[in-house]
Amino acid sequence: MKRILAIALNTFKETVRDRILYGLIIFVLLVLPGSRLVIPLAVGQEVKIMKDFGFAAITLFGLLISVVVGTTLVFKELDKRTIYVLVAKPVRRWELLLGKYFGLMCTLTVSVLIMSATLAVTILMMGGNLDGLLGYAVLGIYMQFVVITSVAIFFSTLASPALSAAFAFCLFIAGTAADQLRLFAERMPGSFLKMAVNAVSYLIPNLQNCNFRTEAVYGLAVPFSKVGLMMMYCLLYALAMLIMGSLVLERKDLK
Amino acid sequence: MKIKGWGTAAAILCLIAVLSATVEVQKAIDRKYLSSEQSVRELMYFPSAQAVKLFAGGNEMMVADYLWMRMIQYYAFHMRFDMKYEYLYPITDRLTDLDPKFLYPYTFGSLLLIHDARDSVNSLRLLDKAKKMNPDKWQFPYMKGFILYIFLHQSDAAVKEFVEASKLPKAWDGALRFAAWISRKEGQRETSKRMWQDLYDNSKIKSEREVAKFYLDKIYIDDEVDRYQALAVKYHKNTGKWPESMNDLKTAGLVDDISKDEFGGKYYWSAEQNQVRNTTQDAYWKKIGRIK
Amino acid sequence: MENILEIDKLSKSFTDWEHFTWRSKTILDDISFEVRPGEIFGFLGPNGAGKTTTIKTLMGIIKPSSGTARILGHDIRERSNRMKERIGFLPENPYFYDYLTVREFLMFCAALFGINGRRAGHQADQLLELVGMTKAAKLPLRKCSKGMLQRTGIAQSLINDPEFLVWDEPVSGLDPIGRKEIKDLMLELKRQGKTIFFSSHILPDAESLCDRVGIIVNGRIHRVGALPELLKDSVNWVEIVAENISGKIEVEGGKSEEVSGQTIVRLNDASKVDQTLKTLMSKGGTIVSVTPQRENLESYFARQIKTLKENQA
Repeated sequence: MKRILAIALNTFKETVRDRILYGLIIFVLLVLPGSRLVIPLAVGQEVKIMKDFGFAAITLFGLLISVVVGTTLVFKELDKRTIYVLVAKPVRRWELLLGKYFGLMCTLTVSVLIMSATLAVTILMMGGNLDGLLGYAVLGIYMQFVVITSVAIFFSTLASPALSAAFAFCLFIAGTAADQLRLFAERMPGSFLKMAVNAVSYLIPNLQNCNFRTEAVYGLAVPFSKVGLMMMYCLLYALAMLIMGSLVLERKDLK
Repeated sequence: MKIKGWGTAAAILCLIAVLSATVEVQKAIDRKYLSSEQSVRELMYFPSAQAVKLFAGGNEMMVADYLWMRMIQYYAFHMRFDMKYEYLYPITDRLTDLDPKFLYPYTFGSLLLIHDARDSVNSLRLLDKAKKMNPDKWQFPYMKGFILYIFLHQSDAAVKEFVEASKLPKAWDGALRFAAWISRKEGQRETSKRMWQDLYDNSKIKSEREVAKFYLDKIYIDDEVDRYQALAVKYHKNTGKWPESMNDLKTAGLVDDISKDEFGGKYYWSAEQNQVRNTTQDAYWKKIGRIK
Repeated sequence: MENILEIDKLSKSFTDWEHFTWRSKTILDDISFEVRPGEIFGFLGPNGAGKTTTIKTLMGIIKPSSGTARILGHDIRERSNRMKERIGFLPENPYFYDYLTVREFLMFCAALFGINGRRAGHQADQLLELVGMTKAAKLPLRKCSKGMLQRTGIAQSLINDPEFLVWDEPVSGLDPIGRKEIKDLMLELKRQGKTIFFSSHILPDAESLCDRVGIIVNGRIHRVGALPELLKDSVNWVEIVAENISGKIEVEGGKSEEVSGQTIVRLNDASKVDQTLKTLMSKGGTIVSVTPQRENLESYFARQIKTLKENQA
């Protein structure tokens, strides 16, 4: 556990010193003046549009950090050969992978907190109200990152950063439409095709589970059980990805 | 060194010239091809809501917000220039596909469609869609009743909608009141005035309030025309002949002053029809095809 | 006492997709040798011989294709943490996290061994002093020269006070003073009872440090043993320096040359020394020195490589 923490802390330092978090300054500069631009065009819908815009921006920035950094974390160790020193230490490869994952999730946690706080302040300045539903929406977005980061790290054990990033982005897009794939499966002719499409729809991470934006914007109720199940699903999926990544890394020649 | 300095200066001058040329070319393109119509026509090549939902990564509500802002701009542009709103329904339809719970496009869209675009079919279609997507919202059957009564003069259908609205959660009590007034066949104009007043008092959208004010001012003109007509009848009774102009009423002491209406139009006497008329009313009736 | 390192018929092949087909290339071919406790073992060979591949296989960076190896009694395939806690590794041309400072990096390495807090700081400072990097402790690694990185690499390999050190080209990138410092360090570590296994191109260093050496060529072990053993069969000759020789002299079993007024005779046959001395003195010469010479490791090495290549051709 201590080794995983040491690697996680090291990874967090890496992302911070890599100026990733400078991107947040761009976010802050975008959201606050951006809200002023929206007002004359919004025709009475300023707060709604600000919330939609804010959620989309948090998703985009977080996704960029998650995918771009996640796909290079393991690759950089191999490419720069810094992994040689680690492997000779009493560190198992799966501990290295987990440490990298938790380090990046620390960075994402800090990022999401800063961006959410900025959005909350902006909504208050525009005369909107804050409620717990906003928190659920942000939690949902964060859990999407829990999944996508694990996917990015898994792909990084197999392919180059560019290819891994492309796969991870595609999986994110597919994941936000996974429920539609299941509906699509029902319309497939033949039981084999139905089964195949259904199987694919379960393999893709269902990120639509994490979408509480409609509820946050329109003040609709969110059952606790739904949030709980969503978190359980995301954690299990991420665990599966990390196990697969560990298996690949264990067997890999780190030449 | 000297050569390097001249080279850099020449490169900078070139850069300025090229950038300026780019801006001028863009301006020429805009003059020739850019219009609200063009950009909206491009919106029609916007992928279907299904496709957007597939690729938007969960951000379809933000895309809907963008379409909402485009819809407002489209309306404002055409209201100013040609009052033709060919794409109003398609934009609103697509926007509400992306965000079915976004309430304002349904109510505002249906009002613009009936009031400005004179498209009753799509106006009602939009409200039927709203009711289907948001079965617990009283605003939609209320709005449908409003349009059926005010614009389409379908009283029985309107009453049905108002009654339906009144049964939904947090319904405004005005829905049931209007149902009652219409059922009792109280004056259409009076009921209309109350409905427009209610919309004017409660709407959060400036454009909606402007539409309501327009109709309230129009109803006021109708009331004034009736008032002056009653005075003309009295003049006829007193003198045995119809007045030749509005001034005759003033001369007869039946009225102190005949002012212009809110739109700057004038009240005048039509000798052909022996009626008080109003220039604003004439223009409106001409527009809706009631007179030639 | 058990050997620190035992390698038995270790082989490694890589399969690559080349020219539309899978091609297998053997890098290590049945290598076997051992490293005894407390010795300094030099692993020598030309470029591409397989030294780094051997070391990477031992450290678990790559998997062997066949054969076995045991470090401190643990099979390398187990990748046992208990084994890794007792070894220190320096890779060739080490790369570290360039966003960390030198001291931060050592603290990180210490944390991986469960050494934290004040103890880790104390350990890091001691090692920085040992490798002469105290002044550069707060320097980011990306700003360090090659020599500084090498010293940092040596320091991190000692952070856990290991019994067995595996160093790949430890003096690479160091200036002559730096090389001497590291060589002195190696001797001191040996004196402390540590075992050192290192690879090097710099043969004179190996000659002065190693108890035993192993020579690898083209993925195969050529010779393993103590240097005196290896060089036992190498060529010996005697050098005689004389002055004031009048006239030319003929030397049996050797040759002579005039250099700055002195006559230098190189005798390949040591048994002819007395006869040659008598000849020189008979010519009126004064004997300045008589020195027996032996081939050094470098020339021995070059000669072996040449012979091998000739045999392969």
